[in-house]
Amino acid sequence: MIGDSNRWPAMAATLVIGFFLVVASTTVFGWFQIYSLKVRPLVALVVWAGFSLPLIGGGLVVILLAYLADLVSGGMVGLQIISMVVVFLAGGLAGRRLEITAWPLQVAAVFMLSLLYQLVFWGALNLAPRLHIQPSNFPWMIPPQALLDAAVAPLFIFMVNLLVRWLAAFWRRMDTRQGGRAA
Amino acid sequence: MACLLLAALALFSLNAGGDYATTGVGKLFMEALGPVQKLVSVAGGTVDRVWRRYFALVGTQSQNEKLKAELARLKQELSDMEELKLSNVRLSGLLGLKQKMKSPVVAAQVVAADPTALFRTVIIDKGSKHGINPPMPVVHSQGVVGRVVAVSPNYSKVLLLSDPNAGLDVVVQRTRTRGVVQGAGPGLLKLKYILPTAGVTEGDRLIASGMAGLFPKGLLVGTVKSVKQETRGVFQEVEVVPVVDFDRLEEVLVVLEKPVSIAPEEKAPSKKRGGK
Repeated sequence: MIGDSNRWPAMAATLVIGFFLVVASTTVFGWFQIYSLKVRPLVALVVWAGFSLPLIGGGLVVILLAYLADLVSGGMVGLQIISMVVVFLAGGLAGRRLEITAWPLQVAAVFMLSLLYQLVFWGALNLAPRLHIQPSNFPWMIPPQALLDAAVAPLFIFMVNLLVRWLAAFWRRMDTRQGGRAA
Repeated sequence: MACLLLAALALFSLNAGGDYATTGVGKLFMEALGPVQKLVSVAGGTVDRVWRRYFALVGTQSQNEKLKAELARLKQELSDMEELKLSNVRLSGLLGLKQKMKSPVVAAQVVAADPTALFRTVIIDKGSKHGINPPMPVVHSQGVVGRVVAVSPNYSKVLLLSDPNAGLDVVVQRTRTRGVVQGAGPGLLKLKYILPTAGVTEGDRLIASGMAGLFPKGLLVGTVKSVKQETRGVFQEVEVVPVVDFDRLEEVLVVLEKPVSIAPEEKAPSKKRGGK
């Protein structure tokens, strides 16, 4: 879990990176599609947020990002929200006992929670009253997609951590400057 | 924790029964995302072009650097001209179609694709400000693309024909047999409700029937790839390759009003030979 002093920088970093990942997932990442598999670093970001961010603030950030993802996707609004919130909460629960600082743990956590994300997504899709016909190979694509999500996770988690550190340093500098002025 | 889950469930339930139409907030976010998506698409395209047509040439040999630079420059110019030529061909095709359409149309550029592999949608850079509303049909010089499912003032979401949730009433051009085409994933459609007696064979072309009143009659949809008897049921399993390459869409036309049909010279020669 991120310390109190880094809480705001971490949430800001999640929001900023998340926004760009939503945009990139509809443009840049689409160019690297392998059959039905797409690079989805937003899932890794949500897993990281679950492990690192406070419940309420982090939850609101995740809901906002998932809402954006829903808007640019062909599914109904709410599919990504429900799936990502479940992943965030699962990450939050696991984060009470575990920290994902080492990359093998990041890969393992993202793999497990990506499976969960896809299962919730699939369940919600089937529960939805509006007809959504899924490609017949969808269940078979869940494990390879989780593997791909897990494989790219360390890179994006490293990027978020880097931005958090940078924002935290910036935050502290601003605080010191303001403190100096007040004194 | 429960509150977060409840909030997510509430949002899901609120939207689950509705159509694709977005709320005011949704439109606002679409507007905020659109320019960034467009910027990334354009920037990405430029980087891709530069990478493929210039940097790939640099560093291949150390000698004759001047000649190589000259060659690279000329190749760059050539590829720019080729790009212009290709754009010209694409846009001429669209212009030709635009002139043949009896309804007013709006040309738009594709700026983003669906982030998931489950749904097949794209975002185009024209919206309600340009007269676009759901479920207006979207076409291309090659044929049918899909329909508009959500709009914001400057951007629209288009459900592609290759999405499993998209459907279109079609006619087999040779036999005049009617059926329904449904998306079956990337690069494939399915023609449904075709009886074995209909005589549909590999290579048959499918055109929009114009029956639902959405797409202009006669627009090309795809070509039959294979015909098999369903293991269960009375109909045949017909696989269709769409004429439009949905992964390479760049420009499209949105048909603004209810169309009647496309100009006669574009229509297929119709010979009634059996059918359902």
